[in-house]
Amino acid sequence: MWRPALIVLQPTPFCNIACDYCYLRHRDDRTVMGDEVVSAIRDRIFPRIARDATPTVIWHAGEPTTVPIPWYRNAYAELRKTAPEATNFSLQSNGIGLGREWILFARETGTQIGLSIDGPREFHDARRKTRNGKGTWDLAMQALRELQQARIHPNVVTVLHPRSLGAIDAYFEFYRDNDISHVSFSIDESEGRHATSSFGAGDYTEAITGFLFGLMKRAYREGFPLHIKEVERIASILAGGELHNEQIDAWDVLVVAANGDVTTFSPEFMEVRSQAHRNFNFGNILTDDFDRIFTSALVARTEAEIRRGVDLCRARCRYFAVCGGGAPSNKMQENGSLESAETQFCRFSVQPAAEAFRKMIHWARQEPRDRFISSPRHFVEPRI
Amino acid sequence: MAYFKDAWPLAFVLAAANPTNAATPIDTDPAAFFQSGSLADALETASADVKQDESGAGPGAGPRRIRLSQWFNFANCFSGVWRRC
Repeated sequence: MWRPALIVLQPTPFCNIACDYCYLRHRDDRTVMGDEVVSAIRDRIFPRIARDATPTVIWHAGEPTTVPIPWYRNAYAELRKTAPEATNFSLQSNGIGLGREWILFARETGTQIGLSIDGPREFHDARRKTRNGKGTWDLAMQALRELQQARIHPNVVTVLHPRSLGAIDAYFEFYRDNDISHVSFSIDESEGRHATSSFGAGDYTEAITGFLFGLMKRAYREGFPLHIKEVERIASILAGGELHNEQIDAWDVLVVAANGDVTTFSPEFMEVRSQAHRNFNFGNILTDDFDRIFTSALVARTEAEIRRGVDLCRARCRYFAVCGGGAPSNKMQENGSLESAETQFCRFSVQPAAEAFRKMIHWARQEPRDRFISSPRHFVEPRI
Repeated sequence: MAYFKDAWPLAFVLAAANPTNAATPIDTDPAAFFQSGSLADALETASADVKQDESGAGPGAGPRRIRLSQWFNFANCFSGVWRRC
């Protein structure tokens, strides 16, 4: 039976802000996923999933909260008719429209929230702007506070730029002072419509490593439990957890666009252009038989190319055991081929997280051991 | 997953385990260090220490309880979402 890890549903391509680094090609398109697409997901996709699977359904790309809550009420009612019982729902938002009604809805439906906040105001407002060019930090922070008051603690996604890397203390204090304990870092990448990364062709691997290591050192010293997702993932693998790169197996990830178009492997494939792969548009659930999409020759050929790229990673890269073969969308975008190995995403995301963790272990050898064990200032008994 | 907010990051727990044995070549052989499961022993050590603390035998015994399963559950929360999601 099929056990997808991640199902990305795009209720609309539209986004209500205009970040400098946005990679979405259709962020001005106000199309909303139609009832017929929701019905097709309910009838043709979800029934294929193993009943005891635990997929995450994420509403993502453009800004999901620009679609009214009643639309989601209907979508949840329909999708839950055939979704596995343990399906998790989550929503990635810029926070601009995330008011009280959304918070109540999230609580009512058990929807997890991810918020995009690029750290302190000056860094966030420099790039995450309204369509009139004004900063959005105040609005995003208001959403954060309202969520926290409702005892919902969102995961915060922060996009880093070269200038961020010299401001370790400012970032750490931002997370600590705003009680943000779960952070994920992305780098400003060239992807989709965003052709030029602010990192350019420079080598920032060491600088990003230093940034992550610096954050962890301060967090450790001050007893603030800062979870950095990229580091946690690697730590869990080194501690004996399972390595699973869901981007290299067909249909571990499924993405359905507002118009019913379908892709798999990397979620960002929706934005990547490649004639040889029909722009990674593997079909449309309204017009194509999903069985045929699922087993299409194009998907099989794409998977085979991805596998050959993973083989190159396995042969060449010392981080393979904690990575699993990278992100196919980055290989295509940066190297022009799925059958390739290292990308900027590897150098600026996976490798720095691994090296920062290695430095952390090394550094901790010199630290008094009881600093962590006996004085966890923020530790309270987990509620299970 | 709100309660994970209060649990310690797995990275900190492994760092606190402070592995000093030669089987963990942090500096001499990074390729060996970055092998799946290379810090499993360190995690066991940390778990044993926490158990000792819980039993009151260790310094600073108190309401600390960190369970292995929590760390991995935490990791699982993100297993399907390791980029922009």
